[in-house]
Amino acid sequence: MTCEAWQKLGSLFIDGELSDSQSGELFSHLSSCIHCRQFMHSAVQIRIAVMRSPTLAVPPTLDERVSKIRLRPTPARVPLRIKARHFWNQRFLVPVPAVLSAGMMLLVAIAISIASLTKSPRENQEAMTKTAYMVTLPAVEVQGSYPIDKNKAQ
Amino acid sequence: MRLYTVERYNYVHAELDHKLLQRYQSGEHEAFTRLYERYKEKLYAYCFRLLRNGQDAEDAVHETFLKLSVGLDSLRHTAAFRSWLYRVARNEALMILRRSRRTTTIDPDTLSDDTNPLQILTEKDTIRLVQHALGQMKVEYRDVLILREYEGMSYTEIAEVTGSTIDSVKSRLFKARKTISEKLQSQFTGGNGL
Repeated sequence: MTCEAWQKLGSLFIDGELSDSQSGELFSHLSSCIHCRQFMHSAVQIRIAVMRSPTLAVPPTLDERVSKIRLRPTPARVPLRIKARHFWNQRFLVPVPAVLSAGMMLLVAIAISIASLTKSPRENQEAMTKTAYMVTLPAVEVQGSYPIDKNKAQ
Repeated sequence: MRLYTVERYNYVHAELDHKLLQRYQSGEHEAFTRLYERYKEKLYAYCFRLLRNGQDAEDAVHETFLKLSVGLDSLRHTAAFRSWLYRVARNEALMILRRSRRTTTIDPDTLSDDTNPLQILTEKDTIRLVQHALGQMKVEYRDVLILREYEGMSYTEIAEVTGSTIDSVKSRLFKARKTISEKLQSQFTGGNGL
């Protein structure tokens, strides 16, 4: 691993983005490399300098200019799409998408259970046909004897 | 420990921004003033460090809030308001930089370009040294270093503000530190080799 690669790790370490094991390896290298130690020292010094730098005062002219910005007039009604967006972004105890998903699953379960309890249209059709056949079957009177006489039949 | 406080810019702040934005979107002008009060100092400091000029920084912040006053509808996720605001300010600052075609300018509050580094070294003023080195750095490096060190933003937030990837942010941060480190090494180490 080159010094530049170690220094990249050092940069990540300063930002708190390095794991414990990687930090251990880095410090092991730092103990034997003066160039990387110098880089780390400089980087830390930059941070210290930043922390000690004075806060900048906002010029009063900026306040004046911003106060003169004409804000848009108060709308009589909030547009529906903004209302909808706000509703969707609202934080409830249970997230809205989760509630909607649960509702959908419940509806599907109800639909499946109703379908399993009722007969299919084809079964209904067959049942109706059988009933009609039985009802409309005419009375049959059988004459003659059994077995049938072949000569008479011809 | 200002830096760590800024790093812990947490859910509570984002929630407050979210509520203020909702109030402003529903027509409450007071909410706009509160948003301005919350962010004016940070945005002004960010623009100032980027532009190295007070008047330009003021213009950039003014333009940012002008855009905020009219462009809130384009803000889809109010949770990312902070990143959005910094992104607008950054774009304004870069536009001003491009327009003026200068990298640094003389400002009474900061160091000028023609300051002799040796003169600074004798002053033993680390803050000024860093500011000077920052002023001479490329804008793309200066930008990420300011966002990280001064504003305490995470890599993700910096990527959102600058419109780049997290890997790119890491790389640019390293290069920025490396550049400053090379310029200041002799001063910081004091020739004692640590």
